[in-house]
Amino acid sequence: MKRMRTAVLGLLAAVCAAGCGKSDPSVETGTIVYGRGADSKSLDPQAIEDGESVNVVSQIFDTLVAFEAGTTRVEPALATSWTASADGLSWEFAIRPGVQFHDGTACDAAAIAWNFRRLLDSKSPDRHGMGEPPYGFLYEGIEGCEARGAAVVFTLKAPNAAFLANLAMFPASISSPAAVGQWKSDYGRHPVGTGPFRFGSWAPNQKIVLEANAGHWGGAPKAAKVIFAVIPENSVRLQRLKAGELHIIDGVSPSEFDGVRAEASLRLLLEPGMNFSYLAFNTEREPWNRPEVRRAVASALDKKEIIALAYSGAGTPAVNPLPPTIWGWNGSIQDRPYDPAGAKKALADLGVAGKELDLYVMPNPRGYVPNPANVGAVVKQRLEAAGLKPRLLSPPWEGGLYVGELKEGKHDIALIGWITDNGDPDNFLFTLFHSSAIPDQNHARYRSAEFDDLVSRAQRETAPEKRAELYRRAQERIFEDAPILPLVYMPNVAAVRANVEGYVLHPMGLVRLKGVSLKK
Amino acid sequence: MTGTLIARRVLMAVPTLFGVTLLVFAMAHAGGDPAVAIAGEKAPRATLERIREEYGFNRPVLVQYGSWLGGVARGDLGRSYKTRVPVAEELRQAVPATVELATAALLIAAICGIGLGILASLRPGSLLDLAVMTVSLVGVSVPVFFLGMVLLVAFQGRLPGGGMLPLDVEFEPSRTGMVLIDALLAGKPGIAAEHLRHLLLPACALATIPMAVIARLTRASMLETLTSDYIRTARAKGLPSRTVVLKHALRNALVPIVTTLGLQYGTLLGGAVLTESVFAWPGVGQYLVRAISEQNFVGIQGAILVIAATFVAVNLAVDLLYTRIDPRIAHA
Repeated sequence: MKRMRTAVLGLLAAVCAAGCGKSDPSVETGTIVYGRGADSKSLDPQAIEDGESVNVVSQIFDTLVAFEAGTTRVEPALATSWTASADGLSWEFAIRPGVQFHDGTACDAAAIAWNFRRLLDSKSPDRHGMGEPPYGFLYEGIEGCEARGAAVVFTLKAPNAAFLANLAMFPASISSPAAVGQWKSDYGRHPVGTGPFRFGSWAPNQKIVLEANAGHWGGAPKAAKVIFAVIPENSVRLQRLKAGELHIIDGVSPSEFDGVRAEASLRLLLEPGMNFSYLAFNTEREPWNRPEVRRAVASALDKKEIIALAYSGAGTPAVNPLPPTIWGWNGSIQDRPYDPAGAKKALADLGVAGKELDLYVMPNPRGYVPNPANVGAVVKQRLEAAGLKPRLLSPPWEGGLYVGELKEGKHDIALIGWITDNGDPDNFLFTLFHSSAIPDQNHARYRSAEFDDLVSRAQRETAPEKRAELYRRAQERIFEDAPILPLVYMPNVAAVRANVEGYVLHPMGLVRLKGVSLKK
Repeated sequence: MTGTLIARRVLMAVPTLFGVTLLVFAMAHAGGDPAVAIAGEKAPRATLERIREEYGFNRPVLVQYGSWLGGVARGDLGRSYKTRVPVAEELRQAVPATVELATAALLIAAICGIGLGILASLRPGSLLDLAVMTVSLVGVSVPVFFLGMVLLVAFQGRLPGGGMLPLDVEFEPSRTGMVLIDALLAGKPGIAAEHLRHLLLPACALATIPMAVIARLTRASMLETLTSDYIRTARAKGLPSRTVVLKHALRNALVPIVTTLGLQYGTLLGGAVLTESVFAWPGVGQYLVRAISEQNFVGIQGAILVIAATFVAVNLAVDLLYTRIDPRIAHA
């Protein structure tokens, strides 16, 4: 009994002592702590689709080409140069010599071709039960991939101008074939790449630790170690950033912006993103099949009011279905002015006053709309003021229920949005509005032969300026036909400690920690 | 006699757990398309079709249920759709964290709750009694999430704000899965001490409601017992007040308290969803919340099954404990 009491007292003394005289040791050890809301699901780049996994994978792996800082143009990475055949069907990449995976094996042309075969072949034994890669569809246009000496050659089924951008995406990250063979179905917990950080350890639902790869071909990272810590609650994450336990956090809600700005020890990072929210009219239904009705509704809504009430002021009114951060954006289009009286009169003249309609609004926040309920309330109010009778409907988002009802065309008007997959205009304009995207992502069920021709030609065109011109014309078509009403471009957000240097938000939301350090 | 009781209770638990599996399976599959949950809503139809084929989602629901139940009988809860890791393995990591947190919270609740309840019962109507009852009322009423945030802010810089260990400490609890016990077994008292510091705030936040319930119950139970004839007799015999209260009155007053403690423990072991979220505690509650938000059906089914089984097991343990405290119950 006495011994037990002594042990308990000793432990209590140690508890008290452990808390005394602690200071942030991260500056000395060069450890960056990144706070996020959830754990990664897997670190096998081909097996993932969630941002929490992508953010970690982006530190461990390299791709053949990479997005430049601040843009969606691509630059050399594991490939030093590339050439395309005249018909755009064959692409040859010269592979950077001497690069090694973190396990010491060579990252050569053969290893890279092996990765793409694993990605493309659903029967590949190297998948080891991984299942269907969620983003495999981006690469379905690739006929084959093979190593030719020190080069890798891709053959495409049809010319695809977005091919290069897709190679810069996370599913095209290059894994060590030896490590995949060693860990098999458990590879997602033991990733091995060539990136600036190597995998250290993973305590599920707690933290992932990465260590600097001093021998990275692009130079050693500035931090010695990176820890991705899971703190599920947004407000708690911010609280722990203030307390100095974390250095960078994501998931800062707009309502917290002012609080972060008011703290001298913190900095709020806001950069234009590659997303937009919009209202999709069901153009197969009366009266939304009439462009003049859709244009009248567009004048009934004040986008600045929506930004103030539903985005806490963070966001920019959207004019086009393509954000200004993406090349090919048409800046010459002037938005329709907010004119509630004119809209009401126009709708009455068109014979739709008093029209009942189902207004779909998703119940959960999305990356492009932090407070959909408020957006729905404002839109409903303005539509009522314009003489319409909207009924709000909010099926659950989970399990694809909300999007499922849109795909079935049950809506009259629906709030929805898009975040880019690869930073290419094709990923907005073709994916969201081409008639072949009905009923997938074309929630407006928009059909225009002229528009289809423009975006299809742009997909085959390899000259960037000619593509940009085709996309500018496609945006004019969308503005004129108004199958959707673009609402808001939402910025990318992060909060950091004031002593964090070198952290830059990429418009695609990519997290890159290689150049990040802590000021002493 | 005890053996018969255990056998009877275990047999009774089987249909209960079977009902739970049926209910959870039906609820989980009413929520939408699992293929979309796996591949994301952007996935094209062909991809979704391949996933349905691969996972067998295109089979009749009853066949899927039977297949899952067969796995459960063999101890296989299936593989997580999201991480591709066996659910049983993921839960093996989450359950010890919840057991630690729930046990710490229950200890705090029991010690403080019974102590405060006894104090209040000794001077009913006094200022102390009023204070204890007010504190317990507040304890029951304050939302755990709010209390957690208040504790975080109040102890900022003095006690850690979350997690099981400091982020720069590497320790894998490989024996029991419980950091405190494994650190002591591994001869690392420093890590055990750090873990206790991390455990303190979430355990206090989680203990508030059961502590308040226990305090009120102890007070009521003690007040009833203290007015019994045998207590009057004990006092008349000249026994010290301490002996009368702690030895004679408390033992009899304990029966309803133990029942409540057992039920509270069962609830706490079911995963303290909010507390685990606020304090980033990687337990069953957090696991279940994430599985639900990701529509990870096998994860949801596995977690709820484990929670239900735990609840049944704790109830059984409480029943057995009764027989020790009050042997008359075993014969009832």
